[in-house]
Amino acid sequence: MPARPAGSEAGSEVAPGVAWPASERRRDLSGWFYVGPSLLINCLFLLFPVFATLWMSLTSWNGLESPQWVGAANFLELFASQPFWGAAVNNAKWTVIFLTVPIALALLVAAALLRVRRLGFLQTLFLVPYILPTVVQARVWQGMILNPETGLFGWLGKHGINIPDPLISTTFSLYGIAIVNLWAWWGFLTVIFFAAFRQIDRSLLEAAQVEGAGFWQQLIHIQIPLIKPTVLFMLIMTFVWSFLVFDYVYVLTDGGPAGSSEVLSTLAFRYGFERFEFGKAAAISACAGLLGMFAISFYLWLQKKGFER
Amino acid sequence: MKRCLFAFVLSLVFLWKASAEPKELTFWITDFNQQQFADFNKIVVDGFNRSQSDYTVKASLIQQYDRELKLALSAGKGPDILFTEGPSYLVQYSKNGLVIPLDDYATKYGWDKKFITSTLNLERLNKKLYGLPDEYESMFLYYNKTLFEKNGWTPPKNAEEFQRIVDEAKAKGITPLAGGNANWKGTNEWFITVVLNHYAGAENVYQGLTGKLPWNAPVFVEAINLLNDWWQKGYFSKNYYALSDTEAINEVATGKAAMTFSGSWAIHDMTQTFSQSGQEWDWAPIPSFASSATYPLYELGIGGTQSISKFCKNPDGAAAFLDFMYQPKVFMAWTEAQPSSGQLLPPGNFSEQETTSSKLDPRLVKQNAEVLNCIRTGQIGYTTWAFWPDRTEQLMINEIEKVWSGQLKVADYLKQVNDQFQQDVKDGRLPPVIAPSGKE
Repeated sequence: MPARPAGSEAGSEVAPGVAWPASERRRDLSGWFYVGPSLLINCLFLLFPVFATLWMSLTSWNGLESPQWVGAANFLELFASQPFWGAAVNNAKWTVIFLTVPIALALLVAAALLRVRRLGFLQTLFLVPYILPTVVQARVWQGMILNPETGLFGWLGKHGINIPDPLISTTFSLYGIAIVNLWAWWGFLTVIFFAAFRQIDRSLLEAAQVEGAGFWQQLIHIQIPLIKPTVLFMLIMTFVWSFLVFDYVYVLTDGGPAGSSEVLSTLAFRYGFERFEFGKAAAISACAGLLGMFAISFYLWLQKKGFER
Repeated sequence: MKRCLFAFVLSLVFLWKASAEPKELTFWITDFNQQQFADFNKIVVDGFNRSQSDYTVKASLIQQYDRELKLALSAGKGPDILFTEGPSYLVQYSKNGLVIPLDDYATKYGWDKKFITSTLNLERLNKKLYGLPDEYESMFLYYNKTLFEKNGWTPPKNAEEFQRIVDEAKAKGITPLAGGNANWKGTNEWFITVVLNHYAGAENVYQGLTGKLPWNAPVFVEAINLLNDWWQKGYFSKNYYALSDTEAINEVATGKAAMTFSGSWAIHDMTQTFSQSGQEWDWAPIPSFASSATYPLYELGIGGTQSISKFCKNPDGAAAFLDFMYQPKVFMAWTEAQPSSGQLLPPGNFSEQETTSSKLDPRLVKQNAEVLNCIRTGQIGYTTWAFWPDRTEQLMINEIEKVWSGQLKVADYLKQVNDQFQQDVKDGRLPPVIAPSGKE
């Protein structure tokens, strides 16, 4: 059976062997015309690198000699290595943190903002860290706040209040980086959720208020269910982005100390540009990419099932 | 007919003009600040361009040098004059035929006499010369002279003297050894280099590098155990992971720390930080921590090599530029322009007259003289970044932190090092090595 032309209604499906009406063919053609450029760009700048990475992950290549086909050897070696699993666990921890803390905080603050009059500037204030370049954020936190010699923590230490720098602890380094990233990220989520909350018909909230529903009841039973598509989308994107985290880790700790904050992307960078083992670097990237694809597929599946409604 | 003649003459003029135009040579530079880059251009590049009319060198400052270079070369491009960060990097390019042999040029310009043979041998592969040693480096003990004099300490020469100073410093709340790797993880390997050479000794390290002694042999386990002991007992700066190397040296300058192990490059930070603190500093050879290590012993590190790219269209011009760069009057003018950069001179057979300058810090001049003397007599140790294969070196740098944090036992760490080393040897990544006697 031929695929249903883009935009055609369910009822207008063409029977097998029957020619499509000219208007449908024109609509189909014009659809391709509009989609074409972005599809071409995607193929050039997305699909090609994706397939090149997948191919490279099956080779041994130091950047100078010709790549040698090694099959699944890179994956097998990685799966047997502690640094790979250490980095994967750190990515999992990172994902759990970012799927819970900033989302919950942002929902709460966005709902609270809705009740505050004339404080719209707070939205801007919350968004400021997000628009600062990552390196600037990281350097400010690293050198001016957390540093035990030159930062606020150092100054407090000299005045008898000792707060250890989490970035130099093998136990807390990952959480230290997460705090810096959360500082920038939660404000962005707040603005997104605040905008979504404002789309809700106020009469619904007023009616609930009249019925005696408090802040929490309104938030949990009315507001969050009504912005479920936005929340779900942000959850999925957070999942995907959490496997792409690189800049904060690279600038703040470079994966250390003792590999305690290593994530898959920094490990891939280490293999690629410190050891010049591009095959293994590509294999790590392929693993991270597959997890991202899994998340997106899950999101599309939920959409298809009508979960958002 | 007249038109044809005119066109012929015109094309001849163009051809003559094109051949008269100096041919351009490209040169990439890394790790320079803007001032150093400007000085280098003024003294070396412009100097060469003025000295002849056949070639023009154009230098570019490149960040992430090694990565950019590999990407460019894999695309058949890159600079004509090819700098690498040391023999262990050069070997990858020479092995893959990306740099050309320089033997004919060495004969033409007398490089085999100009440079110390053992250091030139580090750039050879299968008896062919592929590069020239750019500068040598070594490791030293830097100390706060004011603090030492105040406490009646003298630079330690052996383990006992070192331990006495460390114990007294600890008792007074002074950090014995400053260190920090926040800006450069490679700081870790400076300390690995120190214990391998000054505990296990140069002869044992040589045996290791030539595959006659595994890296998990007892003598190396003891050496890394010593380093781990220093760490566990809190001899290093408390905030090692949060301090940059400059901040660590500042701890020495302010008397918060007594001393540090660092390379020749540290002279720059020592000069800057001590001028601010108003205290005095000096350097000494690193103590011998066991009878297996001689004293004094200076590790040899070649901080860079210069070669000619396979893709260079004018190799004669590139060789002429290399020869110009290594003329004493040129590199001395360049060194004098940055008197406290800590850059040692090229390892050459230059006379004292050619390499003496009142503009240089006398402590740098002394470092130059002593290390050069050791290279000439073959009394050398081995820096991890010059003699170990690059992948083994990276593993040593990264995994030592797991030893310090208690996640990895010293024996397991060295087993990993040995396994990686064997793999690197198998893959042909081992750079050439000089015997402690100075022979290849």
